[in-house]
Amino acid sequence: MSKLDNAIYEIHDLDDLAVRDTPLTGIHPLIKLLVTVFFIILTVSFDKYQLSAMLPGIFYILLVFLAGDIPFGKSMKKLRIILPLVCMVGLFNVFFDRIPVLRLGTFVVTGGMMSAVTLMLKGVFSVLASYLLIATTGIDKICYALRLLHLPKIIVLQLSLTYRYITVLLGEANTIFCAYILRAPRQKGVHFKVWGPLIGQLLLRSMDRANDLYDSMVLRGYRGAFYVGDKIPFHLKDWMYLILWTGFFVLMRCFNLVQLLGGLFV
Amino acid sequence: MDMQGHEGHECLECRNLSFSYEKNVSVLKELTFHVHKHETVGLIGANGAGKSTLMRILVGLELGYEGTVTVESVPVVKNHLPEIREKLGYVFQDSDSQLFMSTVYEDIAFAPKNYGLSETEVEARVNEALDMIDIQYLRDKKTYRMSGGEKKMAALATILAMKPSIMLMDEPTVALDPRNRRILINVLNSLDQGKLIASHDLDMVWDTCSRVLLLSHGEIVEYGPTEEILSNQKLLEANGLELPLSLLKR
Repeated sequence: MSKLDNAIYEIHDLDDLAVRDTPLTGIHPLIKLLVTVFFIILTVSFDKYQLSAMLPGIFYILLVFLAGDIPFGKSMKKLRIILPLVCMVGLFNVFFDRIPVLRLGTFVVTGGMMSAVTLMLKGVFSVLASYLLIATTGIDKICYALRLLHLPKIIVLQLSLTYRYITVLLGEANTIFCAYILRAPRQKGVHFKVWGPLIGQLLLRSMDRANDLYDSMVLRGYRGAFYVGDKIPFHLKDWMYLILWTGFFVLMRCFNLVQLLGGLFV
Repeated sequence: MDMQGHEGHECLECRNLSFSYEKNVSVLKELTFHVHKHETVGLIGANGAGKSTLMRILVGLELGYEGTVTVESVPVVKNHLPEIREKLGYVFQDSDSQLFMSTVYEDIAFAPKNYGLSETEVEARVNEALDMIDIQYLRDKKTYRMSGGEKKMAALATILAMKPSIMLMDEPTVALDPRNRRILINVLNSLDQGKLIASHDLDMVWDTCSRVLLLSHGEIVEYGPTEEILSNQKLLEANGLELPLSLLKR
């Protein structure tokens, strides 16, 4: 399977995760969206030295992975490009902030190290939370939830179509790349001299395909919003989910749970 | 009563239809024809004759035409498009352009859901469509992991689930193996709706259509009974076509 083929497969695979029958896919999309947004806001609101206070966030991530039956290894593979990038965000803090803040035996932990790890965790938590939201909800239901929040229809539509356009673009790129490579068997990659025409072709062809797909949608009753079924009702379990997680997040923000737990044993 | 001896009840009618993408380059010229309810009409012609453009006009994807086009007496104009599109089902030439959801089930359910049917009704519509063309085995299959023929059958099911009063099909037998082609022909013959089928597969047209409309360079060259037109070798050859294989002497 080519890299582009693989990328298309991974996007579809993500869609498939969201339609399985798991305890999490049954939660109302708006509730899941709110919990995720709340978690991300809470995560980024921690001070750069509050590493230990942030750690209980792992509990949320792990529980969602388990309850949503999301394969961990596959997910890490999908996020293999974005996660290292996120991890690099606070790397320079190590060199600029050398004030010692902690001593672990003979090892001195500087403020830079602490803030770098905190920033890293903030990034990783935010990316994972967003990924888990898509994997347990699906883009169409997220768009439905956004509409419930009265986000302008045009913005939601853009989001929904952009997501669909990615696979069209990748599909066309794959076809063009295959056609090229079959007629240039001794070349490694695409010669830079043909980048221009190939990108032009890719743009034109993917626009054509996108246009055809849009026509097909319109001819089958599409009126600017993906229909996600009958109006999704709220259940008691949805409110419980919201209350439990927001309660946990508030506790996490107001108290250093790791320190409190440690205090019980020391 | 018209010249073919049919009673009225046109479900699709074009009068003096002309169309051009650019000024002074006519793609369709003064087309006048109709398709009756419960009738299947074949649309044949060499490449570039204007078949696909005509289809796109009929479903309202191209609107800047001259003349009149009506579907069950409703004119194909911007204001009536939602109504028109509920009556018409259009099977694209390229199935990849028709399927956009991740599984066959979701794709077939797309139209019934958009038309506000309940989950139970949607489920029933999907099953009915799958049963009609004998592709229940494709129900949960990923659309991006199917063969060309499977995609074609799934694309047809997406339209059948809409229960349109007229079906427009652009090259429906392309990419189908002989068995699926035969299934498709049987399905087309069993459907009660009016159908307009654009195809180069003249044997399929012979097997399914009661009348044929021969297009050449955007003009109607002949419009009449299938046997009469498809067995006229001179007429077909003069318009870039050949006799159906089943009529050729071997």
